[in-house]
Amino acid sequence: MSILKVENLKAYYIATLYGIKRSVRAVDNVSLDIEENEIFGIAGESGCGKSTLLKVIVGLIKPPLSLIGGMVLYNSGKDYISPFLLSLEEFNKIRWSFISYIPQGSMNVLNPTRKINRTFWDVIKTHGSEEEKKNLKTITEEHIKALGLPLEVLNSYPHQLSGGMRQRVTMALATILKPKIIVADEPTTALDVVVQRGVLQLLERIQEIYQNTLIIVTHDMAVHANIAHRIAIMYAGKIVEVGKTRDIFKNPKHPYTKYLINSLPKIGDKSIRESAPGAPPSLLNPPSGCRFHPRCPKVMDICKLEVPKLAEIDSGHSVACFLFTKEVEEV
Amino acid sequence: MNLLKRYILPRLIQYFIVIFIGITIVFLAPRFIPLDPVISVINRITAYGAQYMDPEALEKLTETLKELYGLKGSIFEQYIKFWKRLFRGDFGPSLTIFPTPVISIIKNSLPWTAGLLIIAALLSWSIGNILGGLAGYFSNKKWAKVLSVIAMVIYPIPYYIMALILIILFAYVFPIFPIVGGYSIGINPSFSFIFSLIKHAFLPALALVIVGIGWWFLSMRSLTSTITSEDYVVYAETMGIPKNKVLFQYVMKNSMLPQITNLALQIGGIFSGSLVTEYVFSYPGIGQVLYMAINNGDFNLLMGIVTFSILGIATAALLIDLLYPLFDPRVRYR
Amino acid sequence: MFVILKDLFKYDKRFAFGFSVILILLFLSILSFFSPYNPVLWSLVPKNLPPSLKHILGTNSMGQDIFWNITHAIKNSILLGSLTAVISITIGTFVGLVAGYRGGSVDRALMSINDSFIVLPSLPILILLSTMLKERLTIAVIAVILSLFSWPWGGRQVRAIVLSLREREFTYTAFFSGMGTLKTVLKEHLPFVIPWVMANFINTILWAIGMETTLAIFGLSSLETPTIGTTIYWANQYQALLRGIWWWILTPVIIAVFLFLSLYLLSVSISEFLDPRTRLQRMRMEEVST
Repeated sequence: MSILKVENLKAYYIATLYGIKRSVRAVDNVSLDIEENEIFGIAGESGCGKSTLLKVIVGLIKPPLSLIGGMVLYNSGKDYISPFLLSLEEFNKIRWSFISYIPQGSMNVLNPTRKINRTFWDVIKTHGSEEEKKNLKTITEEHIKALGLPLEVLNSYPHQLSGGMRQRVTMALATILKPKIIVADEPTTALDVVVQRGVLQLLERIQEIYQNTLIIVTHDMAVHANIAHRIAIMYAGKIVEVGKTRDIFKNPKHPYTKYLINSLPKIGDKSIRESAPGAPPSLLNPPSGCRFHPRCPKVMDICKLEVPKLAEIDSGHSVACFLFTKEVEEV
Repeated sequence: MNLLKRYILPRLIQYFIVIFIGITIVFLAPRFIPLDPVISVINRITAYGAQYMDPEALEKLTETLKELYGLKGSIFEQYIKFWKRLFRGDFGPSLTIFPTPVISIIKNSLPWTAGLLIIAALLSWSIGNILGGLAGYFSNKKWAKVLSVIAMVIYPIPYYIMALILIILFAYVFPIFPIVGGYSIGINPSFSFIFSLIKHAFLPALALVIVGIGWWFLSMRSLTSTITSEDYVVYAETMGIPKNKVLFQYVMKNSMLPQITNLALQIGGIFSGSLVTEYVFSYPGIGQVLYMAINNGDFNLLMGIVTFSILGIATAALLIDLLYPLFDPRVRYR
Repeated sequence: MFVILKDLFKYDKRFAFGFSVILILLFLSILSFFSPYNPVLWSLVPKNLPPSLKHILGTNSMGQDIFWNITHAIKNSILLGSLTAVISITIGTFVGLVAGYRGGSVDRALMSINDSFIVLPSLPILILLSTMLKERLTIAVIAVILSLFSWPWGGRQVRAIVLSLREREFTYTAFFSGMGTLKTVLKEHLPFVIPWVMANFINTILWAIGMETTLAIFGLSSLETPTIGTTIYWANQYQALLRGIWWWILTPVIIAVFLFLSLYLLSVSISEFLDPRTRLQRMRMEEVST
């Protein structure tokens, strides 16, 4: 049963500066179904709209980002609710207790002039039940212990901790109320490899303890290979391929996915890695038709005119490419 | 211990450098300027008295004046002497109110200036920062934009012009407040004395506070709008923490910090402003005495006031700097 | 350059206002060259006349036409401000460049001197200096004295810019491709520093005119030269306000307010334009439109 549904989502950045109005089509007609208890990875180059997709999923829509169309639905157990349709108070109730978010560069999200335990208490006071509010100290301490972090961090200021530790504290902060869905944006970027490993293990541990759904966005395919159950590949604001991690790595379909997988180093293989020619397109005015066509080695005439629809070609494996499907996306 | 070495010691050193540079300027000023203060004082005495002075008496007077000004000996000896006198608090007698020592004139007027300065600085700092913080956080609200425009119009106006505008307004258009003096004459120290005190200090303080608020408002607004886009504020909002808490505990608490340092830097400017304002409103503080000293060519008094200002402002700035670690844990623990 | 000014004028109301007012004031100051009266002489016209067609801003108690007098005052004040700005920015830029590029103990020494001048109360010291020089005060001398306290702000800023530039990639590129230090500074870094210096220039003019006005109140300016400050000084000396000659005191006060406001708005608008965050956005926009 899916816990989160994204339907035909469109979200653009719209800005006016010195009289010129521009929109950046960061998320353009994206649909996803995310299952309960799975680790779902979203991959793509930087600037392909994956972070924006996450922000919209957690309901963080602030100018210049604006929602153009489509829907995000959370499965609350009884029925589907949408963060877009809730009042701020109703939305506040489900934030952190149902869905929580670990942002990019999460080592900088802690208030430098506030002790860390105060921030945990702020969260519990805002979203916790009466029971939880009463025991906020013990809940915080038990949570920190359960995640295997030292208790001393609670009584420190952020600048007293290392970057990796701050990142882990942020993860603890996001999971303090045991949410059903955790959304993490580039959790391993800007960390060195050893710390990266620690952070990934912590994420897996959280998922194991609380049996919740984890959505991870990163450009790092190795991270996806390590922990994701399913992966979506994003290119220029669109999902081009979705499938089980194994299928994506062993049997990539979309030409862009192929480039992504082939550019990974393999043990024992010393040949030069091939990457997609050209540069990712500007989302200010993306190419017509399939957005990958200017860089695609197998480009056909139809690719320049029509947008391919994401269609299932194998069980649980969907691709948006005219090599595999004739379905055209309606605009 | 670490705090002492890393934070307090550099500031103490800086404090002594400030005083050293300031006092040296005061020492050098009369010596590098083609005007001889001794001759100008003698000219003044002979011009006022219009009485005949025999050359011998004149010679003697010149000698005593030279002694008084510390103009004897090599420039290095003079410099050492200058510092020695400074430590004794000896600035010689005032020439206008002869022979009252300069130090006691300053002592009499200092509380007036200090009171006005501290009240004006604290009021403008807190009001300006709170309003600026709110306007920076709610920058899209209409009232925030209106406040910003008002602050932008007020801020560039010098204290003096602001004082003049207030005088024009309150003395001629709405005559509510007395425009001169420190208190009404003939009132005993009592509740009505205090009331009179406040009434008289109101306009000078208002001029200082209005201009001050403009400055603090604008700097706080830009600091706050920077802080508002910091990751930790954005994340606090994402976590759905109530707006009030975000504003005070996450935004203002952090944007206030640079304003404490700024207060230490600006205190000299506020002091300069209060000198001018006092003069305009004939408020009996240092500014008034300073004006008297300038008008009568009373170099002793002038030097005394300038030296005192340097010591006072540098000390005030140091104290504010030393209080800073109490507010910023990043400096406190390392 | 011209395009930038045009853009700012079109899309930034503050710039448009400041720029227009400054143009008007500059025009007034140019008018002073066609003044029918010598600003130094007294009793050229009847005294204390209220504004009329013949004397549009009236006359003062010294028998001078206030309108023509204020044109001289604006010119002299702007001249004084610009002179101070030139002197103090030269010193400040030099100190900032040396501190930033030499670094180490040179930097520490220069910056502690720099900061000392920021903390020191400027007005009392300036009063001391100008009292001592009272008989010899001219616009140029005042500008020199004022520079003593206006260079450190620029010095600090230039140093900060240099420190950030020094670590940038293109500096290393220039260095490793064999460009000399001096040439790197002049060719690669100066273009970054100049716009900031311009904003600072305007701020210094603003500060200097305000300070001269303040000194003039105490009678410590070149009293024969009409400036905005001395005009107010003479109006006060003759008790203009008390005697109801409001046009005498109000004219310089209003001119001063407009001058300060417009200079300030110009500097705010320019600094905002220089802000790397808005600049980056603009650059992206340009990329798109071309």
